[in-house]
Amino acid sequence: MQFARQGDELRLRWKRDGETQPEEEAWTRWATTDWPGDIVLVPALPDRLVVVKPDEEFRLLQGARARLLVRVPLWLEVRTRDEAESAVVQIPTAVMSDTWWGTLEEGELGYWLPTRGRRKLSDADFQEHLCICPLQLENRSGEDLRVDKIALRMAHLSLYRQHQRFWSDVTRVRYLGEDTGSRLDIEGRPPAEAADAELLTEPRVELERGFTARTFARLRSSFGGWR
Amino acid sequence: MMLPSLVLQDSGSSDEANRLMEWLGAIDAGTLIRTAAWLFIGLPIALAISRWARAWVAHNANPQRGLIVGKAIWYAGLLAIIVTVLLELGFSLTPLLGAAGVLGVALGFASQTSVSNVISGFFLMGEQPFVVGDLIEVGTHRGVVQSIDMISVKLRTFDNRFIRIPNETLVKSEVVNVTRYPIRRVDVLVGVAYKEDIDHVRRVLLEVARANPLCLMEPEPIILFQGYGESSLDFKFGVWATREDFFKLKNEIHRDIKVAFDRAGIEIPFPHRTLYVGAQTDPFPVRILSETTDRSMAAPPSPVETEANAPEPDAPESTP
Repeated sequence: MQFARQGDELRLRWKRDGETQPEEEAWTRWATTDWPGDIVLVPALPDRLVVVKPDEEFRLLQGARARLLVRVPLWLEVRTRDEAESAVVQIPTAVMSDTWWGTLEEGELGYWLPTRGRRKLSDADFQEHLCICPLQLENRSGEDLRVDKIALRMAHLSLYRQHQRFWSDVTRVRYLGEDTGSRLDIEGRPPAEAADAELLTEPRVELERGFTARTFARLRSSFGGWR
Repeated sequence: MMLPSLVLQDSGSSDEANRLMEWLGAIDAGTLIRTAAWLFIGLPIALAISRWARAWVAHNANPQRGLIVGKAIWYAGLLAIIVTVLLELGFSLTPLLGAAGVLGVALGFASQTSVSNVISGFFLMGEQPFVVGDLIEVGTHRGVVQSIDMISVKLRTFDNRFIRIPNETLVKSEVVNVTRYPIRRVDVLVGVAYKEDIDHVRRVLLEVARANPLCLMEPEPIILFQGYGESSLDFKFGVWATREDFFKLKNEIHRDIKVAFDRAGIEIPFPHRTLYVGAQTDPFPVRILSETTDRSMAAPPSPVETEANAPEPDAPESTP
């Protein structure tokens, strides 16, 4: 990332690894007021929900619990270092494809994230541009749960930093059944292995207690008849 | 101060003039002030309330309902103020209403089309096949709905033309609402050469969809084999996008397919044509001359000779 100051104007350009950008189109400009000339880079969680797709089929038997660790690419928020500390732009460190969460008539736009659905992490799994989102899944329905896709609602999560590692809150998902949906709880603290992590950003939207939502997609037939 | 005779009684013109003067003279200053207040304060207030209600409903429901509510409040306010002013000036409404009834019947016969449009407008507002801001297609017309009024619907086309479509026409004809749902599918017809491996083509197309961030991963892209074409294997490739990104993806996906096919060495064939002049004549004999022969000819190089200009192989040399 490069930034430049020209009068009261902030100019930025950035390029991800492997990306090619024409030089003349790369700069983006912002007019500022009383900007001393410095910028601050703050890590942030994605601005939309992230639909996680396990690479391998994953099932939860009746009554079973499982902990999944999902690595989500962080965004980089650029702020001016002045009194207002205005957020200038948010840049994703990795481009994720868009996806739709819902039916053909209504739903929510999200990012698509294939994942290995790790149960444990090694040191090599931590990278500076990735945030670990711990998911505590519980199947309270009377049937086996095939976890085809999981919707991670990033707006409800906080971001924590433990040295050079980034964590989000633990999300507890209790699957109650096909008709009832899933009950979501955000613990509001980092997982036990990152208990000493410091809070970086608070959730954009506070989650109400006992929030029930469609979190799992079990069947492709949710898009039945769309051909 | 009741003067119904002013409206209905048929008297001589001089009598009417006298009565008018008498009536005007009977209006006191208080009546004039109250009438002026209703007209110059009441009307702007009614207009302001209707605008505020329109904006509020548009914000909390949708722009179309805002439009309806705003107009309803304005017309109701206008009617109330007119009635109040007439009463204030001493008119009796009974004969006016009677006259309005007779006039209404006459106008009804004279304006059947307009009445039909008004009634159709109510159907449109009730059924809500589209709202203000939707992109719709009606017959050959395509545009963004600007307003849904009592008589007609106004559209703005993409090349910035204004189209007015009577409500009755909309009720009678097929209307396509292009932007009703939040996501849309871009369908691309793709033809590849017969020599290509179908599975390979499918893999390349799926990679094209995966590589474009605007292309939604769910609903999944579709690849349907359409059949054996005249000169190609035909596929329908469908990718989904949000309605906001639809046109952008539609532009990009064609380019992406071409780039991906070129990179993967997949041929997009063009139609092959063989001309045949009919059963009554033999096909044109075509002979490809080798490069050496071609160069040795004195005549301008012509790679193809036809029966018409080629020398007959067994013909004797020309003699004077």
